[in-house]
Amino acid sequence: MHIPDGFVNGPVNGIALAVAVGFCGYASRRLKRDMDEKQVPLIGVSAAFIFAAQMLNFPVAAGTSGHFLGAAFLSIILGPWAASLVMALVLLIQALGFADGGITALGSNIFNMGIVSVLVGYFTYKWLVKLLPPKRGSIMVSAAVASWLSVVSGASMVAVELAVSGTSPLVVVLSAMAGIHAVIGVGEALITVAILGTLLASRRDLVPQARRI
Amino acid sequence: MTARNKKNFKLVFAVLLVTVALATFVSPFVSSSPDGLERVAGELGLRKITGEEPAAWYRVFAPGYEVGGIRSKWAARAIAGAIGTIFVFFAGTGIALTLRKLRHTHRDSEDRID
Repeated sequence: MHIPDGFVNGPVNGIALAVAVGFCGYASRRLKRDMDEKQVPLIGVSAAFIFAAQMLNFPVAAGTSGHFLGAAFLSIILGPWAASLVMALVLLIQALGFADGGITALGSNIFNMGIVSVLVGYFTYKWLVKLLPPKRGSIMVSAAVASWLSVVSGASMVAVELAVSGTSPLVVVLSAMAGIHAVIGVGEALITVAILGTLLASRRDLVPQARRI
Repeated sequence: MTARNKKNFKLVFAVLLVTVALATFVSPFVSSSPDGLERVAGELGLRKITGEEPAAWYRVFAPGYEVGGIRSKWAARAIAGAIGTIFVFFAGTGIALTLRKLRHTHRDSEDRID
């Protein structure tokens, strides 16, 4: 769901960029204060992992592909502040180095995938884990729902920006974007659960909520 | 190096290795179908509303994850994936180290005030 150049107008991207810069500034301050020593090497390797994983498009419905987004997964492992910064870094390098996502849409892309997807994923997971019984399965279900919602919410935000920019009527583009990403989101949920399951089995100290089970 | 640091170092190294391998050896073979947004843009016939393109002086390193000037599409993607992944790793680690350093500097100055 990386928006290329030319599909969102200047004001929409400008506002999104201002919010993204402000949010990343705040996230840096929070992370500087709260960062755990063991997070330092994890942040670099998570960023590399997300970058590589986003290159791996898997086929979904006929003639369409999707790729792992990782926003919810990052927020579960690293918390929302580090997750946003990692997503912003990956999106910046993708736009500047690989023409994946337009440079004139960078603000929108960071806002959608680095803020909206991260926060939706983070709060959904946090809230569900608290609500469900303290079991391994609850962590998995919460992570699956959170990653699905993170993809669908990010994609819906893309639709809103396209509509506000005057690219397409909202109802049309929103239903199309949410529809196809509801399918891609299933792939996202499966990958998140698979990675989280591996971590729970081998390094459960890296999954903050694992203490509860 | 404490036992826990050693364990983390091993994990980071292992994940990094797998990640670079994925970007290098798997990424050239993934689905090239349009992604969700491209599919929607095609179906709805969305057109560009602005003519904005990145400045002409700016040359993207590997547009569409393919390094220019290499005949083999496979190799072009593999090289782009490997370089990109390693670059992102160092950039991410750099940010984390900088934030940690800033925190220590901040704490030192607070100590002096006390």
